[in-house]
Amino acid sequence: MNWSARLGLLVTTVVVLATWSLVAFLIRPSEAGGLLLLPGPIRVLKDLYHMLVQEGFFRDIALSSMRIGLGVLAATVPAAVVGIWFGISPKVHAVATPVFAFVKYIPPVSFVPLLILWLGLGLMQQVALLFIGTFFYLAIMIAETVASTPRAYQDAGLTLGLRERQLVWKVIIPHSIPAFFEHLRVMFGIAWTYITVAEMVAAPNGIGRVIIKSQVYFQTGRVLAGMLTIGILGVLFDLILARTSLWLCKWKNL
Amino acid sequence: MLSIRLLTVEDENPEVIYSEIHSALSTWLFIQKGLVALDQAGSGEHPWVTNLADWRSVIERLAARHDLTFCTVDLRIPETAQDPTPDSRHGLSLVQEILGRAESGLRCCVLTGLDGSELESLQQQGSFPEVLFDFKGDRRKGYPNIVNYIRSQALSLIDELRFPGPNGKQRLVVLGEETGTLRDHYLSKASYFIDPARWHFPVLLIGEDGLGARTFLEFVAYLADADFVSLDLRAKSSKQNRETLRALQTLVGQVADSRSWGRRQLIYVKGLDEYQPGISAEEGESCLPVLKRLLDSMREVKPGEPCSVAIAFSVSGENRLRIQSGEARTFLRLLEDHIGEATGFPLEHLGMDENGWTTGHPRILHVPSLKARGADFMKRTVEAQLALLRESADCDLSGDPGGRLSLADEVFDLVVDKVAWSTHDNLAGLNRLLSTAFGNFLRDRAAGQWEITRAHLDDQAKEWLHRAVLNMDDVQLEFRTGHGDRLLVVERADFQVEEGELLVILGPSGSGKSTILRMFAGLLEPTSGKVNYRGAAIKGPSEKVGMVFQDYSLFPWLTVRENVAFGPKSRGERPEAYSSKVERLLEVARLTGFEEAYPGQLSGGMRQRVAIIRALANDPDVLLMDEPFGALDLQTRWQMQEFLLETKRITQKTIVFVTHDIDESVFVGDRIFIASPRPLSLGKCFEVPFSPASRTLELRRDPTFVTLVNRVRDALLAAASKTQSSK
Repeated sequence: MNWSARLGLLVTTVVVLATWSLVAFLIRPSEAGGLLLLPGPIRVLKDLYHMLVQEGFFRDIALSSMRIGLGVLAATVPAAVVGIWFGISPKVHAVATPVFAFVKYIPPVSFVPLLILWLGLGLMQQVALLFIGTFFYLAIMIAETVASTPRAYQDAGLTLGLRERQLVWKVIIPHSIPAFFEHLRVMFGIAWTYITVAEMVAAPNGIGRVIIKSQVYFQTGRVLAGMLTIGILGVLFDLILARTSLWLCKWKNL
Repeated sequence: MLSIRLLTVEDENPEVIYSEIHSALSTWLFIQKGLVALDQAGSGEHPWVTNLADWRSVIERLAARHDLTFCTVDLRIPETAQDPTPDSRHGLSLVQEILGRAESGLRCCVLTGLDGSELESLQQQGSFPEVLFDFKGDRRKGYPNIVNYIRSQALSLIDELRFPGPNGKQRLVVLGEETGTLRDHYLSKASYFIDPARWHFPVLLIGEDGLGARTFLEFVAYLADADFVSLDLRAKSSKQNRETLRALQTLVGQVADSRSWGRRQLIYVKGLDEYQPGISAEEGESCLPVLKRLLDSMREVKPGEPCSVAIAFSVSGENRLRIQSGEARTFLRLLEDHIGEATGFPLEHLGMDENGWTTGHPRILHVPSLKARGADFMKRTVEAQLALLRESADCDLSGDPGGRLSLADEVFDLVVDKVAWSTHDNLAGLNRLLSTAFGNFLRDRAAGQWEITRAHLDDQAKEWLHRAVLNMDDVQLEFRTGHGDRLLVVERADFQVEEGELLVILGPSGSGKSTILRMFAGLLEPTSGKVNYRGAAIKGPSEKVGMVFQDYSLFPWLTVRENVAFGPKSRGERPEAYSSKVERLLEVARLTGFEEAYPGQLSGGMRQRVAIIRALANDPDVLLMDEPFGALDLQTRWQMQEFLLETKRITQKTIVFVTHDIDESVFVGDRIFIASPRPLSLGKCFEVPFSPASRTLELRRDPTFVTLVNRVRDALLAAASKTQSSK
């Protein structure tokens, strides 16, 4: 990141914080003890500090992160297998895509009631939701990527002595890796939505749970602190994935 | 014993004539490139022109059944005819109709007797019919107007020639001997001739009229690319003969030297019986050496290039005729030897005895180009040959009740392939191959063994079979479009790639050239026909056949070195085995210092150099190159062409190179095939005469180079317009 980009980031941050503070100041409660609709940034940070230090919010963060990690991981591996399979066999692709598209369009959150009935309120239920939420998207995206591997690479591989089935490891997967990481980044974004909803609906703990609990007690500062945490975590995950992709696919970023 | 025969049909019933010719064509050992020369007997007993409508049906049926591409029609009016008018009129309409029909398949038709000179004798007999036209100004004032009528018809026929036939192929009429007005008229259509886009079947005509013949000869020799040659050796005076001879020498000199005689589709010799050298021996001018040279150059016909010789005789009423000149006789014997040698089968007779008298009633001599007519036909041929060998064997084969002696499938395929590839040498080769194999079989035979296997073949046969690295045998390819329609991409591809050559397939973009390469690479299967690598069908991609693609085929995720090592590595070779080879190739391609770069960091020229050496790292037998320099700027492209030639000099690889760049094709190619636009068919083939050493930038300024580029361009345009006009 060059310095002008850094400056831009700084300016944006300052502008956002300033606007936030201004709005918070304008709609502040008229008397003490009144309903705090929008706490200012400082208040939110104070709340966050309090939550982290005194209420073990770290544990909720770790739990949510673990759920996300498990859920996305549980979806990624089969989605990659299924996606590659679809991608390399046009017939399977043609048959399965409508089914997948159908499932994809059912909001995963609407599975929550069923999942609670089937799996209870534990980890399994949240992982299952994440799985449903990401597997179908990811599989279709990977299939598209794999199918779009230029014929020229595959022909080149074949004429250089590769067998048909070696193409997957030697040509298709190397070619698809950068796009695969892009997909994963998108998926993590979606996954945070689902996990938050899942925890809000039915979970004894986790960031979503903390947010919903705070809402019940009108602790808007804590709600915002939870949201802020999710945002920071999202950026962090994204950064990690981007770095990994960069490290794995030097050729893509020349 | 099989032999090349003269067919005599002693009947005027068209049904009989048809069935006789048909059965002859079906059983004789001449293959595919059919031609029939029908020569009028002139005999009072069998004037075939009596009913032209019948003849039309005969010719058409024959053409349809036997893939005939050539026929001659003699329109001379028999001396005995009472009223020649209807016959002549019929004759012209016959030709018009035959040529006008797409389904007849005839591509070339020789008409003789159009000038009406045969009528002279009729005139003398005073037996002329009504006066049709008043034709003034003709130098043969004495001619009755029937002649003029015929001429006017012929003129209109010539006019029609300007238009392509319904099947998109140009038609050609060769006008026999002295053509006077007709010739002038013909020449006045020179634009038709010279316009290469319209010119599909150029003609060479040597007529009685020496001067006219020369005009034609020079004309055609200039263009030097005739598909058809007709030699009329009839001559009445030595002066005319000399003119003819000189013209012939000019032609042979220009054309034979360019070694393109081999691509004459047909050489038609007529008038041998009347041929008189008439030139004193001191002058040292004689037709014979020229004709010998012609035959010699024909002997060099390469496999895959059809070539035929037809000799037509006329016979007198007695069915006997003397080949008058000793030279003509010598020529005939030469031809006989030549044919005998080329085909491997002795000629039963050429219709001439020791004193030069014709024997029997020889009207058709058919020495065809040899080309597989189909598996069944080849099977029959080979079996017949085997049966002959078995009969002639003087050893005890009593254990074989007949039919048990057979060829191993492999040997059979090889034999058939051999014949399928070759057009000239093949029957001799087939005979030799089978005889040797049979001899070896008899020598080594174990009891109860009835199969001739590969082990029995001689080395020469094996070598012959390996001469072609790749070949296509009547290949056709269709794609199915999304709507279930079928799209014909390759109409017909039938050619071979020889060891060590750089064969260029030149054609417009989107013509399906690449699909040819993809079939060779094993990435596509033909809809019909065979694609072979060293005689065996190609089943799929193989490291023996490497390919260089147009662009974007380097793996962007691998470094230059990894790309080059990709082939050996993925075939499980150990790094120590291939790394030195990879380094050497990188050095050859001047990529030292870029080994760790990714393809995305390289220039277009460098990328294609990597692509070439990547294919070479596998040490393939053949390299297929699909417009490898198409995306490069001109200067880089020239450098790459030199790099390619240099690489070829070093590696001696066989290369098939596809391009749409004419200049490039001539610069790098040893042979150039012209591909028509889709559906692709391969047309003309050009030999490029430049030595490897002469292929430098300077070559592009060489007039020979420029001329060849122009000729190739003309051929390309002609191929393009052919397809357009057929749509």
